[in-house]
Amino acid sequence: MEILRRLGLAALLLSAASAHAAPGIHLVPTGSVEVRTGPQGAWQAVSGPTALQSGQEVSTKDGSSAEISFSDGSKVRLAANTNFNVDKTEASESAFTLARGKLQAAFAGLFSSRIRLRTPTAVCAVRGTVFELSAGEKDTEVTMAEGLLEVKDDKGHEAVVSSEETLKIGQDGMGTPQLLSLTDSRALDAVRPMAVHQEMARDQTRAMMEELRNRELKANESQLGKDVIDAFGRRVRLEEYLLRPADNEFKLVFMSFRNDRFDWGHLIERFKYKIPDDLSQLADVVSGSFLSPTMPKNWLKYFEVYLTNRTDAVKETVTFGDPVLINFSGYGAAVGNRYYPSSMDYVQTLSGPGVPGGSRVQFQLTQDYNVGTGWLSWEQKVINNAGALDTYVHVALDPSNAADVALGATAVYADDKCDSCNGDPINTTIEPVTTVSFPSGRGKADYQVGTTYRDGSTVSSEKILVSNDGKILDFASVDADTFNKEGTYNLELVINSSLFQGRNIDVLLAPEILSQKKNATTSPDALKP
Amino acid sequence: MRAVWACCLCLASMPASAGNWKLLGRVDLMLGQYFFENSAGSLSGFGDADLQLTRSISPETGFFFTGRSVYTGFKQVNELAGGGTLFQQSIDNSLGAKLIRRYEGGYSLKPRVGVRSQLFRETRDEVWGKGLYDFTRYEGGVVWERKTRLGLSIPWTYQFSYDLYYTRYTRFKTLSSQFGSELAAPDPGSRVLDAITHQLGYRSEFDFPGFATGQLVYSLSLVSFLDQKVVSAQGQYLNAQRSDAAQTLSLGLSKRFLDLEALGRVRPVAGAGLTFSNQISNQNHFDTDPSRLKFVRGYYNYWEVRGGPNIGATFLKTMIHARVGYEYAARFYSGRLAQLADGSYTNDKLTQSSQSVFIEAGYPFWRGLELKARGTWSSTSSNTKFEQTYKYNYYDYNYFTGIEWKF
Repeated sequence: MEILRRLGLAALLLSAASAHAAPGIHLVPTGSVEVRTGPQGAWQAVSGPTALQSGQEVSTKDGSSAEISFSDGSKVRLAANTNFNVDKTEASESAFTLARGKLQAAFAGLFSSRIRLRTPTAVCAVRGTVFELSAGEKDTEVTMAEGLLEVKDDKGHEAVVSSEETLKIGQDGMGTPQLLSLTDSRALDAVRPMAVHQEMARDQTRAMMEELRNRELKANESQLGKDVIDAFGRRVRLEEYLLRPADNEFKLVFMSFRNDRFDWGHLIERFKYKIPDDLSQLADVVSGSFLSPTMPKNWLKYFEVYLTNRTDAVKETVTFGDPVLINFSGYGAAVGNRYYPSSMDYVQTLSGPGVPGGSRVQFQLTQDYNVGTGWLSWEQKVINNAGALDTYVHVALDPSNAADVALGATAVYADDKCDSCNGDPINTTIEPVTTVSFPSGRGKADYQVGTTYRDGSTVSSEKILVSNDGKILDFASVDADTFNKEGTYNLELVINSSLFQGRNIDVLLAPEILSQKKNATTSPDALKP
Repeated sequence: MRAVWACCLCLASMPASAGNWKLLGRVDLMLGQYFFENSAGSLSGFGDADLQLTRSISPETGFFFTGRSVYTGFKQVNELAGGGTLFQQSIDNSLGAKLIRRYEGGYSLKPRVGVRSQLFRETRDEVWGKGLYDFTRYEGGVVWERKTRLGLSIPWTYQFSYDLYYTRYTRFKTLSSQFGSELAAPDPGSRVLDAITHQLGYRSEFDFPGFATGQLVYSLSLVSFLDQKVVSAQGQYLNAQRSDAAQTLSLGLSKRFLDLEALGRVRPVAGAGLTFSNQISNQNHFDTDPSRLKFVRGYYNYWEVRGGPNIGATFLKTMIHARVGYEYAARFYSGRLAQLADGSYTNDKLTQSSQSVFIEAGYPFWRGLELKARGTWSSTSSNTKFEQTYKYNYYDYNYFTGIEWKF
């Protein structure tokens, strides 16, 4: 501590870089101080600041002292009765000798590539150091304040001396460096700049482990798809859960949360029989439900997708009859008989405070297999101009008849009202108008399909493929199927309706949910070559 | 947050040395920008005030207070590159206190306490104080240290440490815990990110002859999540809570070489680091994607190796110093499976590797003032190609430049 105080150089080691004046050494004497050039030169008294050169020696007398300043900010204070030699001052190495006496030094370590300080019994290599050195003919004592000093004796021993250590080197070589006692006047403060810097660095290393752990948590949330940005620049938190309400059913709940809104939905699939614990096998069960040459062992009975903003909701359900064997040879002679659901009933229901009656079916498509005639029939119902659900398209097809399959129908029922299907003027009491648009422009994966019903109600769904950072995918040729594919973008689904009183439903979901919905209504057209 | 700023201002307004009190610190003011592949974030600012108010009572005893406030207006390369946004701002405030008590024979005992608050804005709809990942961390610890020697030549300081961290994400609760009742959703826990970490550490530092230093650091973190339930193979949430054990072993070496007689003399320093780490967790993962519905056991378990060299040089004529470093890291998950681009699972375990290069330079132009610049480039690749929600294969980089004041 005394060394640091007297030299006032503790900060030197921390800010040595601030001193980079022209190279040089200057001596400032106090009292009787002499300088000579070479061992044979005559001693000359100096009384004021004096430049020192290589080969010069400094000698302080009784009651005198001297301070030597270096151009890099380093300082050496010579005590009384000290002989100090400047042996060499080159860029590659500077060397000094303490022939006898005592010095206190603070070296920034920048003056030369190597700075060596010799005594009769030791050689010290300076590493950016504040220390005290005393030398006699037979012994040397080094006491470190702050920093490191490499010391060699003439017996080949070498030791790095660190802060608050003292080392004696005698004629028999060096001993082991000893720590100063805390009661020694040379002991440093417990808290001092260098120590605080060290403590801060060590604490930060340990805290960094915890910091990395926290970063990892955040990254995992993203990797699991729980934290994304939507097409409108808002952060969306996503959560999905799997439930098994019964052994033949599973339910996926998916949630999308933004700062000012919460949208959620679910997907339900119910099967005829128990489904395996490993649900990854379910895709095969679903595909086996349709058009299988053999009777499926298990099949889909019910499918439901439900989306809501907590006020308004849209629900789409498909109910399946058990498979029956149908002659599909009209789709190709080799196709022959296939198992296919005896019925499929697809229903779209809107609900909310703006929906007449709180809830109503907006669209329905029923497909039946008439065992007696061997025909498939389709009946599509939509909201008409009176706001009631009414039959719009009603046709039948003999799937074993290739000509009918090519034509698309075998018979049209009397209650069919699709006049435009026959080339007649549109039936304005019932035929809905469907429009396709690209809200973000043609080159973007932002695809909107809107339907206007004859009572003035509208329903539209906008599908957007959006990257993690909220950018809409550039896409040259977008169509409805683009959004059913698994890919590297998130799917944002926005449902609008005139019945939602200005609100909408806006969820991010796995594209596979739409894909499953499509698969759940696989039609015989899949048999076409 | 106001209290933290008030303390920082209070510290900053004190003279650098008042009685036996000393004020140390530095202030950085920078400008920087973040790039993710071909996309660029906007040019933004960075400010860092790091202060220590110290008081030494005697060679045996002393203490110091720390205060730090960091504002980052641009994204750092190591911050959620694959899953986040170009836009990110953060404010990181911390306060701490540490007591140093030294005993004869080189022994020291160093208890500390601290608190840290980190606020994020990562999207346009987030406002300060309402970031999803804002957290407050309360921490305390104690270090037992011995300063001794390894043989005659080498000073050796070793430490045993224990640190306790309690991290609370102020706004992060599962959606299920907030809205689950109306959805009939299961209960995965509410504050699933909150955790208590018990960290045991060992550290050794050596000063070798020949201007070389070395260090060895070992750390074992036992992490108890307070409300994150373990998911089962059926997608159900069990009563057991998630707990992780993570350990790290790091080795570091640096050596100063003789000055080069070029450009007015150049002082080179070379270093290298090598780190091994692993994590074991009892948590699993259930992929609820409708086409996969896959259970992945030991989803968070991995081991990792990381290391690389760095070279620094100080140009002694101008005191300009520069450093360039390279790091390679590879992580091997023992349970997590690699996925194809369409999301389907392969039988291979997920591996990730990354490379990064940094270059930094400083020029101390007047007293404690220094001009600084730093740039970092990193590239990450993986055997998983499924990037619907997170990018595993990308490159990103950033730079910042400004001024630092040390006192």
